Amino acid sequence: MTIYNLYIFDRDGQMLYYGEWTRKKQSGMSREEEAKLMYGMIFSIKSFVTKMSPVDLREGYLTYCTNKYPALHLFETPSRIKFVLNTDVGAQGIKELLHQIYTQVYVEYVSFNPMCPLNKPIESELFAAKLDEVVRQSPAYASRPA
Amino acid sequence: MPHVEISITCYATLSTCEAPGDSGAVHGGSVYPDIEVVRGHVLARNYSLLKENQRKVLKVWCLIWQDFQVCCSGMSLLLTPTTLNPSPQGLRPADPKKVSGELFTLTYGSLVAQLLKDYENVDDVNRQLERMGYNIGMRLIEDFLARANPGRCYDLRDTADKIQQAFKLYLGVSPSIGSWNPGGDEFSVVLETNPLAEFVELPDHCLGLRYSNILAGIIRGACEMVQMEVMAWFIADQLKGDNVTEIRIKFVKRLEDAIPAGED
Repeated sequence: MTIYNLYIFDRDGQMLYYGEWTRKKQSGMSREEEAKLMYGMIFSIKSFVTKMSPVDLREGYLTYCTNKYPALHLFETPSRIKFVLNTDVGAQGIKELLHQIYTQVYVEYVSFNPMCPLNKPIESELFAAKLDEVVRQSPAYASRPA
Repeated sequence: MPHVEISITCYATLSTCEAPGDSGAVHGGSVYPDIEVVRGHVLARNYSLLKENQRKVLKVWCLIWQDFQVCCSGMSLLLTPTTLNPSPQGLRPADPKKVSGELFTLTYGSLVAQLLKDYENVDDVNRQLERMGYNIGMRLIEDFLARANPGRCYDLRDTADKIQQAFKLYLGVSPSIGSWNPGGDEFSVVLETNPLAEFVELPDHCLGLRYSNILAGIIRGACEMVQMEVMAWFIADQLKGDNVTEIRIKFVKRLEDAIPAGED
Protein backbone atom coordinates (compact mmCIF):
# COMPACT_ATOMS: atom_id res chain seq x y z
CA MET A 1 0.00 0.00 0.00
CA THR A 2 1.75 3.13 -1.09
CA ILE A 3 1.03 6.67 -1.88
CA TYR A 4 2.65 7.87 -5.05
CA ASN A 5 1.91 11.52 -5.40
CA LEU A 6 -0.57 14.33 -4.72
CA TYR A 7 -1.78 17.22 -6.84
CA ILE A 8 -3.81 20.12 -5.50
CA PHE A 9 -5.75 22.18 -8.04
CA ASP A 10 -7.66 25.37 -7.41
CA ARG A 11 -11.07 26.22 -8.84
CA ASP A 12 -9.63 27.45 -12.17
CA GLY A 13 -7.50 24.40 -12.79
CA GLN A 14 -4.25 25.92 -11.80
CA MET A 15 -1.94 23.56 -9.95
CA LEU A 16 -1.35 24.82 -6.45
CA TYR A 17 0.88 22.07 -5.17
CA TYR A 18 2.55 18.86 -6.25
CA GLY A 19 3.93 16.42 -3.70
CA GLU A 20 5.65 13.16 -4.44
CA TRP A 21 6.51 10.22 -2.25
CA THR A 22 7.27 7.35 -4.59
CA ARG A 23 7.60 7.82 -8.26
CA LYS A 24 9.06 5.08 -10.39
CA LYS A 25 8.76 6.59 -13.84
CA GLN A 26 8.90 10.17 -15.02
CA SER A 27 6.47 11.18 -17.74
CA GLY A 28 8.98 13.00 -19.88
CA MET A 29 7.11 16.28 -19.88
CA SER A 30 7.33 19.35 -17.72
CA ARG A 31 5.42 19.58 -14.48
CA GLU A 32 3.05 22.23 -15.81
CA GLU A 33 2.09 20.16 -18.82
CA GLU A 34 1.60 17.12 -16.69
CA ALA A 35 -0.62 19.12 -14.36
CA LYS A 36 -2.72 20.39 -17.24
CA LEU A 37 -3.14 16.84 -18.55
CA MET A 38 -4.13 15.63 -15.11
CA TYR A 39 -6.64 18.42 -14.64
CA GLY A 40 -8.11 17.89 -18.08
CA MET A 41 -8.58 14.21 -17.37
CA ILE A 42 -10.27 14.85 -14.05
CA PHE A 43 -12.54 17.46 -15.52
CA SER A 44 -13.58 15.06 -18.28
CA ILE A 45 -14.18 12.18 -15.90
CA LYS A 46 -16.20 14.36 -13.61
CA SER A 47 -18.45 15.71 -16.34
CA PHE A 48 -18.85 12.19 -17.71
CA VAL A 49 -19.81 10.84 -14.30
CA THR A 50 -22.22 13.70 -13.59
CA LYS A 51 -24.00 13.10 -16.85
CA MET A 52 -24.18 9.34 -16.55
CA SER A 53 -24.62 8.74 -12.87
CA PRO A 54 -28.08 8.16 -11.39
CA VAL A 55 -27.00 9.70 -8.08
CA ASP A 56 -25.44 13.09 -7.58
CA LEU A 57 -21.79 13.46 -6.82
CA ARG A 58 -22.64 14.34 -3.27
CA GLU A 59 -19.54 13.66 -1.34
CA GLY A 60 -17.21 15.20 -3.85
CA TYR A 61 -15.15 12.02 -3.83
CA LEU A 62 -14.25 9.89 -6.83
CA THR A 63 -11.95 6.92 -7.34
CA TYR A 64 -10.67 5.81 -10.69
CA CYS A 65 -8.74 2.56 -10.83
CA THR A 66 -8.00 -0.49 -12.84
CA ASN A 67 -6.62 -3.79 -11.58
CA LYS A 68 -3.12 -3.10 -12.73
CA TYR A 69 -2.70 0.63 -12.79
CA PRO A 70 -2.39 2.75 -9.66
CA ALA A 71 -5.62 4.20 -8.41
CA LEU A 72 -6.51 7.84 -8.69
CA HIS A 73 -8.54 9.35 -5.86
CA LEU A 74 -10.17 12.71 -6.29
CA PHE A 75 -11.61 14.77 -3.48
CA GLU A 76 -13.36 17.99 -4.41
CA THR A 77 -14.55 20.47 -1.84
CA PRO A 78 -17.69 22.57 -2.42
CA SER A 79 -15.33 25.47 -2.94
CA ARG A 80 -13.93 23.60 -5.97
CA ILE A 81 -10.48 22.86 -4.60
CA LYS A 82 -9.43 19.46 -5.95
CA PHE A 83 -7.07 17.04 -4.23
CA VAL A 84 -5.82 14.23 -6.46
CA LEU A 85 -3.97 11.41 -4.82
CA ASN A 86 -2.41 8.56 -6.77
CA THR A 87 -1.89 5.39 -4.82
CA ASP A 88 -1.44 1.75 -5.61
CA VAL A 89 -4.46 -0.47 -5.96
CA GLY A 90 -4.64 -1.81 -2.44
CA ALA A 91 -4.84 1.47 -0.59
CA GLN A 92 -7.60 1.79 1.98
CA GLY A 93 -8.97 4.75 3.85
CA ILE A 94 -7.99 7.28 1.24
CA LYS A 95 -11.21 9.21 1.56
CA GLU A 96 -10.47 9.91 5.22
CA LEU A 97 -6.88 10.73 4.39
CA LEU A 98 -7.89 13.26 1.77
CA HIS A 99 -10.38 14.80 4.13
CA GLN A 100 -7.71 14.97 6.77
CA ILE A 101 -5.30 16.63 4.37
CA TYR A 102 -7.96 19.20 3.61
CA THR A 103 -8.95 20.00 7.19
CA GLN A 104 -5.67 19.65 9.00
CA VAL A 105 -3.22 20.86 6.43
CA TYR A 106 -4.82 22.95 3.70
CA VAL A 107 -7.25 24.92 5.85
CA GLU A 108 -4.78 25.47 8.66
CA TYR A 109 -1.73 26.40 6.68
CA VAL A 110 -3.11 27.94 3.53
CA SER A 111 -6.55 29.38 4.18
CA PHE A 112 -5.53 30.86 7.47
CA ASN A 113 -2.18 32.11 6.29
CA PRO A 114 -2.47 35.74 5.23
CA MET A 115 0.87 35.50 3.42
CA CYS A 116 -0.48 32.78 1.15
CA PRO A 117 -2.46 34.23 -1.77
CA LEU A 118 -5.35 32.00 -2.68
CA ASN A 119 -4.83 31.50 -6.39
CA LYS A 120 -1.07 31.18 -6.51
CA PRO A 121 1.02 28.03 -6.09
CA ILE A 122 1.62 27.19 -2.45
CA GLU A 123 5.15 28.01 -1.42
CA SER A 124 4.86 27.62 2.29
CA GLU A 125 7.41 25.21 3.72
CA LEU A 126 5.30 24.68 6.77
CA PHE A 127 2.51 23.42 4.56
CA ALA A 128 4.87 21.01 2.81
CA ALA A 129 6.26 19.72 6.09
CA LYS A 130 2.86 19.21 7.66
CA LEU A 131 1.49 17.53 4.54
CA ASP A 132 4.43 15.15 4.50
CA GLU A 133 3.85 14.32 8.15
CA VAL A 134 0.14 13.63 7.67
CA VAL A 135 0.71 11.41 4.66
CA ARG A 136 3.50 9.43 6.24
CA GLN A 137 1.49 8.81 9.36
CA SER A 138 -1.52 7.53 7.52
CA PRO A 139 -2.13 3.76 7.47
CA ALA A 140 -2.18 3.77 3.67
CA TYR A 141 1.46 4.73 3.46
CA ALA A 142 4.24 2.15 3.55
CA SER A 143 7.86 2.69 2.77
CA ARG A 144 8.12 -0.10 0.28
CA PRO A 145 5.72 -0.55 -2.60
CA ALA A 146 3.34 -3.47 -2.33
CA MET B 1 4.02 56.04 27.47
CA PRO B 2 1.69 58.78 28.70
CA HIS B 3 -0.89 56.71 30.49
CA VAL B 4 1.41 54.13 31.92
CA GLU B 5 0.56 54.47 35.63
CA ILE B 6 -3.15 54.08 35.05
CA SER B 7 -2.70 51.43 32.44
CA ILE B 8 -0.45 49.14 34.50
CA THR B 9 -2.82 49.01 37.45
CA CYS B 10 -5.92 48.65 35.37
CA TYR B 11 -4.38 46.21 32.96
CA ALA B 12 -3.30 44.02 35.83
CA THR B 13 -6.89 43.89 36.99
CA LEU B 14 -8.42 43.52 33.56
CA SER B 15 -6.07 40.85 32.31
CA THR B 16 -7.01 38.54 35.13
CA CYS B 17 -10.61 38.93 34.09
CA GLU B 18 -9.84 37.39 30.73
CA ALA B 19 -8.93 34.02 32.14
CA PRO B 20 -11.86 32.68 34.17
CA GLY B 21 -14.59 33.23 31.65
CA ASP B 22 -16.71 30.54 33.22
CA SER B 23 -16.50 30.08 36.95
CA GLY B 24 -18.54 26.90 36.55
CA ALA B 25 -15.48 25.32 34.96
CA VAL B 26 -13.51 25.99 38.11
CA HIS B 27 -15.88 24.01 40.27
CA GLY B 28 -16.20 21.26 37.71
CA GLY B 29 -12.45 20.81 37.36
CA SER B 30 -10.48 18.40 39.42
CA VAL B 31 -7.96 20.99 40.50
CA TYR B 32 -9.27 23.40 43.13
CA PRO B 33 -7.18 26.53 42.98
CA ASP B 34 -6.75 28.96 45.80
CA ILE B 35 -10.23 30.21 46.60
CA GLU B 36 -9.11 33.76 47.37
CA VAL B 37 -7.56 34.11 43.94
CA VAL B 38 -10.72 32.86 42.32
CA ARG B 39 -12.89 35.20 44.34
CA GLY B 40 -10.65 38.08 43.35
CA HIS B 41 -10.95 37.17 39.69
CA VAL B 42 -14.70 36.77 39.83
CA LEU B 43 -15.13 40.09 41.60
CA ALA B 44 -12.91 41.88 39.12
CA ARG B 45 -14.77 40.32 36.24
CA ASN B 46 -18.17 41.21 37.66
CA TYR B 47 -16.99 44.75 38.20
CA SER B 48 -15.97 45.10 34.61
CA LEU B 49 -19.18 43.59 33.33
CA LEU B 50 -21.51 45.95 35.18
CA LYS B 51 -23.06 48.26 32.64
CA GLU B 52 -21.97 51.48 34.29
CA ASN B 53 -18.40 50.32 34.45
CA GLN B 54 -18.22 49.14 30.88
CA ARG B 55 -17.49 52.62 29.60
CA LYS B 56 -14.62 52.96 32.03
CA VAL B 57 -13.25 49.59 30.97
CA LEU B 58 -13.54 50.58 27.34
CA LYS B 59 -11.82 53.89 28.00
CA VAL B 60 -8.89 52.20 29.68
CA TRP B 61 -8.53 49.73 26.81
CA CYS B 62 -8.58 52.64 24.38
CA LEU B 63 -5.97 54.54 26.35
CA ILE B 64 -3.72 51.50 26.43
CA TRP B 65 -4.23 50.99 22.71
CA GLN B 66 -3.46 54.62 21.97
CA ASP B 67 -0.27 54.39 23.97
CA PHE B 68 0.82 51.42 21.93
CA GLN B 69 -0.02 53.22 18.71
CA VAL B 70 2.09 56.19 19.69
CA CYS B 71 5.16 54.48 20.98
CA CYS B 72 5.17 51.35 18.85
CA SER B 73 4.43 52.78 15.44
CA GLY B 74 7.97 52.24 14.24
CA MET B 75 8.38 48.76 15.63
CA SER B 76 7.68 45.54 13.88
CA LEU B 77 7.80 43.16 16.85
CA LEU B 78 6.76 43.51 20.44
CA LEU B 79 7.37 40.88 23.09
CA THR B 80 5.15 41.03 26.14
CA PRO B 81 4.12 38.62 28.82
CA THR B 82 0.45 37.86 28.50
CA THR B 83 -0.43 38.52 32.12
CA LEU B 84 1.46 39.92 35.06
CA ASN B 85 0.88 36.88 37.25
CA PRO B 86 0.93 33.33 36.02
CA SER B 87 -2.60 32.10 35.73
CA PRO B 88 -3.60 29.56 38.37
CA GLN B 89 -3.86 26.00 37.11
CA GLY B 90 -7.23 24.94 35.88
CA LEU B 91 -8.48 28.40 35.08
CA ARG B 92 -7.00 28.96 31.64
CA PRO B 93 -9.17 27.45 28.92
CA ALA B 94 -7.49 24.42 27.39
CA ASP B 95 -7.78 25.61 23.81
CA PRO B 96 -5.08 28.19 23.08
CA LYS B 97 -6.88 29.23 19.92
CA LYS B 98 -9.88 30.65 21.74
CA VAL B 99 -9.84 34.29 22.71
CA SER B 100 -12.29 36.12 24.91
CA GLY B 101 -15.34 37.37 23.06
CA GLU B 102 -14.86 40.79 24.57
CA LEU B 103 -11.32 41.00 23.26
CA PHE B 104 -12.63 40.26 19.82
CA THR B 105 -15.35 42.90 20.12
CA LEU B 106 -12.95 45.53 21.36
CA THR B 107 -10.39 44.71 18.68
CA TYR B 108 -13.03 45.12 16.00
CA GLY B 109 -14.04 48.41 17.58
CA SER B 110 -10.54 49.76 17.44
CA LEU B 111 -10.25 48.57 13.84
CA VAL B 112 -13.33 50.56 12.85
CA ALA B 113 -12.13 53.56 14.80
CA GLN B 114 -8.79 53.47 13.01
CA LEU B 115 -10.50 53.17 9.62
CA LEU B 116 -12.61 56.21 10.43
CA LYS B 117 -9.51 58.13 11.29
CA ASP B 118 -7.76 57.04 8.10
CA TYR B 119 -10.57 57.63 5.65
CA GLU B 120 -12.64 60.33 7.37
CA ASN B 121 -15.47 59.55 5.00
CA VAL B 122 -18.16 57.19 6.19
CA ASP B 123 -18.92 55.70 2.77
CA ASP B 124 -15.28 54.83 2.18
CA VAL B 125 -15.16 53.10 5.54
CA ASN B 126 -18.29 51.10 4.69
CA ARG B 127 -16.77 50.05 1.42
CA GLN B 128 -13.48 49.13 3.02
CA LEU B 129 -15.19 47.05 5.72
CA GLU B 130 -17.15 45.19 3.06
CA ARG B 131 -14.00 44.54 1.07
CA MET B 132 -12.16 43.25 4.14
CA GLY B 133 -15.13 41.04 4.89
CA TYR B 134 -15.03 39.71 1.33
CA ASN B 135 -11.39 38.64 1.73
CA ILE B 136 -12.12 37.07 5.09
CA GLY B 137 -15.15 35.22 3.70
CA MET B 138 -13.11 33.69 0.90
CA ARG B 139 -10.86 32.00 3.44
CA LEU B 140 -13.37 31.42 6.18
CA ILE B 141 -15.51 29.28 3.90
CA GLU B 142 -12.73 26.68 3.73
CA ASP B 143 -12.67 26.42 7.49
CA PHE B 144 -16.44 26.19 7.63
CA LEU B 145 -16.46 23.42 5.02
CA ALA B 146 -13.75 21.58 6.89
CA ARG B 147 -15.35 21.88 10.32
CA ALA B 148 -19.05 21.70 9.74
CA ASN B 149 -18.83 19.45 6.67
CA PRO B 150 -22.14 20.72 5.44
CA GLY B 151 -22.50 19.10 2.01
CA ARG B 152 -23.88 20.84 -1.03
CA CYS B 153 -26.81 23.23 -1.01
CA TYR B 154 -29.58 22.43 -3.43
CA ASP B 155 -31.51 25.64 -3.05
CA LEU B 156 -31.37 28.96 -1.29
CA ARG B 157 -33.09 27.64 1.82
CA ASP B 158 -30.21 25.22 2.36
CA THR B 159 -27.84 28.12 1.98
CA ALA B 160 -29.78 30.13 4.54
CA ASP B 161 -29.53 27.23 6.99
CA LYS B 162 -25.82 26.96 6.45
CA ILE B 163 -25.36 30.68 7.04
CA GLN B 164 -27.30 30.31 10.26
CA GLN B 165 -25.02 27.44 11.27
CA ALA B 166 -21.97 29.53 10.52
CA PHE B 167 -23.13 32.40 12.69
CA LYS B 168 -23.58 29.91 15.52
CA LEU B 169 -20.18 28.39 14.95
CA TYR B 170 -18.14 31.55 14.64
CA LEU B 171 -19.96 34.21 16.61
CA GLY B 172 -21.92 32.11 19.06
CA VAL B 173 -25.23 33.75 18.23
CA SER B 174 -28.33 32.14 16.75
CA PRO B 175 -29.92 34.38 14.18
CA SER B 176 -33.32 33.70 12.74
CA ILE B 177 -34.02 33.48 9.03
CA GLY B 178 -37.11 35.10 7.65
CA SER B 179 -38.80 37.61 5.40
CA TRP B 180 -38.53 35.51 2.27
CA ASN B 181 -39.70 37.36 -0.79
CA PRO B 182 -42.31 35.77 -3.07
CA GLY B 183 -39.70 34.73 -5.64
CA GLY B 184 -37.72 32.86 -2.97
CA ASP B 185 -34.44 34.54 -3.85
CA GLU B 186 -34.15 37.04 -1.02
CA PHE B 187 -34.16 36.51 2.71
CA SER B 188 -33.15 38.19 5.94
CA VAL B 189 -30.82 37.12 8.71
CA VAL B 190 -32.07 38.67 11.93
CA LEU B 191 -29.79 39.05 14.93
CA GLU B 192 -31.20 39.83 18.34
CA THR B 193 -27.75 40.68 19.67
CA ASN B 194 -24.80 41.68 17.59
CA PRO B 195 -21.60 40.50 19.25
CA LEU B 196 -19.49 42.89 17.22
CA ALA B 197 -21.29 45.93 18.52
CA GLU B 198 -21.56 45.09 22.19
CA PHE B 199 -20.09 48.18 23.80
CA VAL B 200 -20.58 50.57 20.93
CA GLU B 201 -22.38 53.86 20.61
CA LEU B 202 -22.35 55.68 17.32
CA PRO B 203 -21.50 59.36 17.57
CA ASP B 204 -23.67 61.83 15.67
CA HIS B 205 -21.29 62.46 12.81
CA CYS B 206 -21.11 58.74 12.01
CA LEU B 207 -24.75 57.90 11.57
CA GLY B 208 -24.16 56.75 8.00
CA LEU B 209 -21.63 54.18 9.17
CA ARG B 210 -22.56 50.54 8.75
CA TYR B 211 -20.61 49.35 11.72
CA SER B 212 -20.88 45.63 11.12
CA ASN B 213 -20.49 45.84 7.37
CA ILE B 214 -17.69 43.32 7.57
CA LEU B 215 -20.36 40.66 8.08
CA ALA B 216 -22.04 41.53 4.78
CA GLY B 217 -18.69 41.18 3.03
CA ILE B 218 -17.97 37.86 4.70
CA ILE B 219 -21.28 36.43 3.48
CA ARG B 220 -20.63 37.66 -0.05
CA GLY B 221 -17.06 36.32 -0.16
CA ALA B 222 -17.96 32.95 1.28
CA CYS B 223 -20.88 32.42 -1.11
CA GLU B 224 -18.79 33.37 -4.09
CA MET B 225 -16.31 30.62 -3.29
CA VAL B 226 -19.14 28.09 -3.47
CA GLN B 227 -20.30 29.27 -6.87
CA MET B 228 -23.06 31.62 -5.76
CA GLU B 229 -23.11 35.30 -6.38
CA VAL B 230 -25.14 37.08 -3.71
CA MET B 231 -25.64 40.60 -2.53
CA ALA B 232 -25.70 41.25 1.20
CA TRP B 233 -26.52 44.49 2.98
CA PHE B 234 -27.81 45.77 6.30
CA ILE B 235 -31.38 46.97 6.48
CA ALA B 236 -31.63 47.44 10.25
CA ASP B 237 -29.03 48.08 12.88
CA GLN B 238 -29.43 48.15 16.64
CA LEU B 239 -26.77 50.83 16.84
CA LYS B 240 -29.05 53.18 14.97
CA GLY B 241 -32.00 52.57 17.21
CA ASP B 242 -33.73 49.66 15.51
CA ASN B 243 -34.93 46.69 17.54
CA VAL B 244 -32.83 44.10 15.79
CA THR B 245 -29.90 43.92 13.44
CA GLU B 246 -31.00 42.61 10.07
CA ILE B 247 -28.94 41.62 7.03
CA ARG B 248 -30.74 41.15 3.73
CA ILE B 249 -29.30 38.60 1.33
CA LYS B 250 -30.27 38.38 -2.31
CA PHE B 251 -29.27 35.62 -4.67
CA VAL B 252 -28.00 37.04 -7.95
CA LYS B 253 -26.80 34.12 -10.00
CA ARG B 254 -25.00 30.83 -9.93
CA LEU B 255 -21.37 31.06 -11.04
CA GLU B 256 -20.26 28.40 -13.46
CA ASP B 257 -17.04 26.43 -13.26
CA ALA B 258 -14.28 27.69 -15.46
CA ILE B 259 -13.72 25.23 -18.29
CA PRO B 260 -10.05 24.51 -18.92
CA ALA B 261 -8.68 25.77 -22.21
CA GLY B 262 -9.13 23.35 -25.05
CA GLU B 263 -11.88 21.34 -23.43
CA ASP B 264 -14.87 22.78 -25.21
